[in-house]
Amino acid sequence: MMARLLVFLTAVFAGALAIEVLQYHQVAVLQSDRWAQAPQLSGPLLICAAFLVLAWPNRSTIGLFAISCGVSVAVGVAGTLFHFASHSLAFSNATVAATWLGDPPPLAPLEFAVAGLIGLLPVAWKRAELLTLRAVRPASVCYALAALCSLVALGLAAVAALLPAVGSIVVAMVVGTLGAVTSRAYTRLLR
Amino acid sequence: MIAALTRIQGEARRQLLMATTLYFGILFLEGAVGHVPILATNWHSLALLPVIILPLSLLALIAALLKPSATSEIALRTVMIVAALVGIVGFFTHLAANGVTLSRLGPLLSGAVFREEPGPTWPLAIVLGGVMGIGGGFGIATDDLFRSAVRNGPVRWLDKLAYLSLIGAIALSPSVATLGWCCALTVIACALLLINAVVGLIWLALTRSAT
Repeated sequence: MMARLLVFLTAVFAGALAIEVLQYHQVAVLQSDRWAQAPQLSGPLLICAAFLVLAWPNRSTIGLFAISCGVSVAVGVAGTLFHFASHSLAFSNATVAATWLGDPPPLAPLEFAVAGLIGLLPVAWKRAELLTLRAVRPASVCYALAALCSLVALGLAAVAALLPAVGSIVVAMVVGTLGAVTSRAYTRLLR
Repeated sequence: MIAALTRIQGEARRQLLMATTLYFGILFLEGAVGHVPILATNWHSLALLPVIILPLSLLALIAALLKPSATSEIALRTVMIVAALVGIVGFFTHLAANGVTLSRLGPLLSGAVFREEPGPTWPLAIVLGGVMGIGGGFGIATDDLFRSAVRNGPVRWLDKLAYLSLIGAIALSPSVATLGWCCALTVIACALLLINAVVGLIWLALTRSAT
């Protein structure tokens, strides 16, 4: 139960970050920097993988989820370094507030790393539990639909249709949350 | 084997709380330290809320990670609930700052308001952090496995160094003059917490497969 909760938390976390980055990068940097697309893709990928694990927990989906979490951590760390680099960071400026504050926010990409780390926690800790606990059918359907929506969001983000991508992620989060609520309600009913 | 498993469970909770601390460290730099220069030039009483609650959240998390007890659990739960409420208030305050009111909801539907400064969704990150803190900190006072993990977890000196940096950063944060040092210490703490989290996860996976 705890492992599934952590996977769901990862999906919610990644969803919030994806919406944030899709909107922020759209106005801030995307036209001038292709690398800025990396978090726009890694976010929906992580949401999709998390909902896939919740819908069909098996070795393949857990493997994909672990890889997505690793990608998210890598994107978070690389993004932090990119943001730092764009602040013309020099050792002599390390204790100047302007170096660390302002746009682009230097530590903000690290939130992707946190999302990835939380996702890796159940994989490292409760892999067996992830494999054995299956959601009830209505919840599985919701999770599968949420995974599909996030896959659509991934495709839309890849072709830079950012506003529809945000819409797809919002739908994925709502349907996924409905899945979690259904799952809990069914468990209680069955008791 | 049972002893190893119990240690793993405690370590998993410790990892979750440390990830939450790392998250709040990032929010501290963005939300609390970032608000200090704004407050110095343009005073707004509501902008003071994250400046107060984010350092308190960090201190509550550090206390729970160093000395898990009934007091630290109650403190953590209270602070995290308040932090979540501050996040919700911040969301509506940022919306209002971008011209959304009850009588003028048009910009909200167009979506344009979400791309303006200050970003209305930023304070919601504090809500998410609060939820993680409440979940991770629930029952730490009675969780012997967690207490055992706090005592026996891997590379404990690294996280203690991170907590020390964070406490130093919090102490330096109220003054604009020392804000640069505060930022540098926060970044060092976040880097240490990230390294610690990765090491902890590897340790968790290795110990898990060994059992």
